[in-house]
Amino acid sequence: MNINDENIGKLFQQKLKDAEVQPDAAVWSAIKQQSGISSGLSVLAKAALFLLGTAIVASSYFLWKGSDSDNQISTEMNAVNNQSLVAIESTSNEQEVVEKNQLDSSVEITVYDNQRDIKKINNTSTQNVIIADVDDSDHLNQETNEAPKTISNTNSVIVNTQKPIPTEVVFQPQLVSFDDEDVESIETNREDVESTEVLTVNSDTAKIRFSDNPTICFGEDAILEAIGGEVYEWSNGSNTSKIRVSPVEESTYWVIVYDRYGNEKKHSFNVIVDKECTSIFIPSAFTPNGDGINDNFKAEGLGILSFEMVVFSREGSIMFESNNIEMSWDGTYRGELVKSVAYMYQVVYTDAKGNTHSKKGFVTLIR
Amino acid sequence: MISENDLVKGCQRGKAKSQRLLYELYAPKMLGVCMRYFHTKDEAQDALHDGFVKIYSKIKDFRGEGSFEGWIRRIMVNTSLNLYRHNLKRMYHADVDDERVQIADSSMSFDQFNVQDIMKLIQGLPDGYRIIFNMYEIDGYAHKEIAEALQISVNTSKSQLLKARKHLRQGLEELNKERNKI
Repeated sequence: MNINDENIGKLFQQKLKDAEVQPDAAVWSAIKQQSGISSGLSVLAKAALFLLGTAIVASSYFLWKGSDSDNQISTEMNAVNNQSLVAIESTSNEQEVVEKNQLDSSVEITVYDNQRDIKKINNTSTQNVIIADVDDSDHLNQETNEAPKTISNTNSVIVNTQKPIPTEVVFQPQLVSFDDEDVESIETNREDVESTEVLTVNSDTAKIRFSDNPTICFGEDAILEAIGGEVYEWSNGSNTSKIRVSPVEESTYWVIVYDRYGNEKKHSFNVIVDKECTSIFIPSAFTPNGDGINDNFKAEGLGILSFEMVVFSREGSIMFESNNIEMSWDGTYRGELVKSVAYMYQVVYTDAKGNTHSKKGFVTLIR
Repeated sequence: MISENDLVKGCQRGKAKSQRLLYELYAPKMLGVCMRYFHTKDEAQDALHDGFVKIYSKIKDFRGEGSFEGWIRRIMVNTSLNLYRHNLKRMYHADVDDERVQIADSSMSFDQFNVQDIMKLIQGLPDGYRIIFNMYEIDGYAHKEIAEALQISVNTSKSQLLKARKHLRQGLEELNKERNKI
């Protein structure tokens, strides 16, 4: 399977969720001591004792008949060897039901669920899914001893509804697999699962729309928008439906949109910067501290035929004046650095078509 | 055969045998959980120790709601987080790298990496990335829960996750390159 930023979490989860690392023996001694657990024979030793016990039982059964503790050891050893406990057993029942229905071939997948979840699926179901109300009381019985949370999770894992269906993907029931990893993920309580890519039943991702790729003039902002999702993750870290970007050269931004089922859809925006058109960018602040970054106040423009800029203090004195767009103000007035406040500027320029524009604004000197 | 239920009841009554069995059953898996949250096995074993001590003292309160393993896991994760909590503040100052979209190396197959490789990569992540990636991707916490546990904003959690994923993918790509060289 190929790896990208979207599936990497899932891949890591599959490998690591049940990774086991043998702790050092000292850890148990420390725990035992701190929790006040009385020491006894190790389980292994008890197992050996039990085997010995059984051997003796064979020869002299009556002598050992009353030994309750040995029987108990045997059951506990079974538990060690067979770690698949209640939850897994019940899930395998469900697995059988699904497989049987696949054989019928008239049903692509059977979704059984508690009443509430069936409704949910019905509302948004796609034509690929036939929902059968299977009497699931048997295999849910064991689960109902657990928290209700577990039940709903079980159901959602079995159908794996939580993955987006890209509309063009054909539903392939033969790829349905219920392996151990699926069973294990029952126990996760996540609201926004990224589940396997194969099984997809139900999704709102078709409703997710994206704005077109914008072309902007140099220095302008572009607005990128995705609608129809619940959660947005933009490449710039934003989480809003809409972002405003101002690239200075052609750039790509992407967004991952999650619908309310946790299905995701990724989209890339390519923002083209047209450097031919006339535009002007005037920063709103500068920092004349000599660190080489934004030390000077300077307008950036393209396709400008003529240019004039004047910077005033609040009192109205002219701090800086220039008729060349390449000239910049270093934040000094008569050789001395001026106060760290906002200054007003006025820029008059002529664009490539010969039209004259005027722009006024404030620039803040930050130290 | 002893059921999970009996095992829990045994521990609740303070039976040493059940307590030991519980440890034998879950310790390796839980150390696997803790390992992901720390750089080294020693630190992870400290968390495992604290976690089990907490489990034995809290098991009286376990009401059988939800899966028992899930309950244990949560305690392990919380214990691991507690060990980090004192320096939570500084852990989000990990380098803020660029946001350019990088094209993933599509020739790389995930199957070639084993659990040790993956574990090492995770352990090598900066603290903030590692904790959020673990909580979200592997232990199944929602961003909201993570934000509450770490006292950060949901958006921080999300953006850290994105960066962590990128970090890990790049780590895999480097590993892949190294192997192909040999």
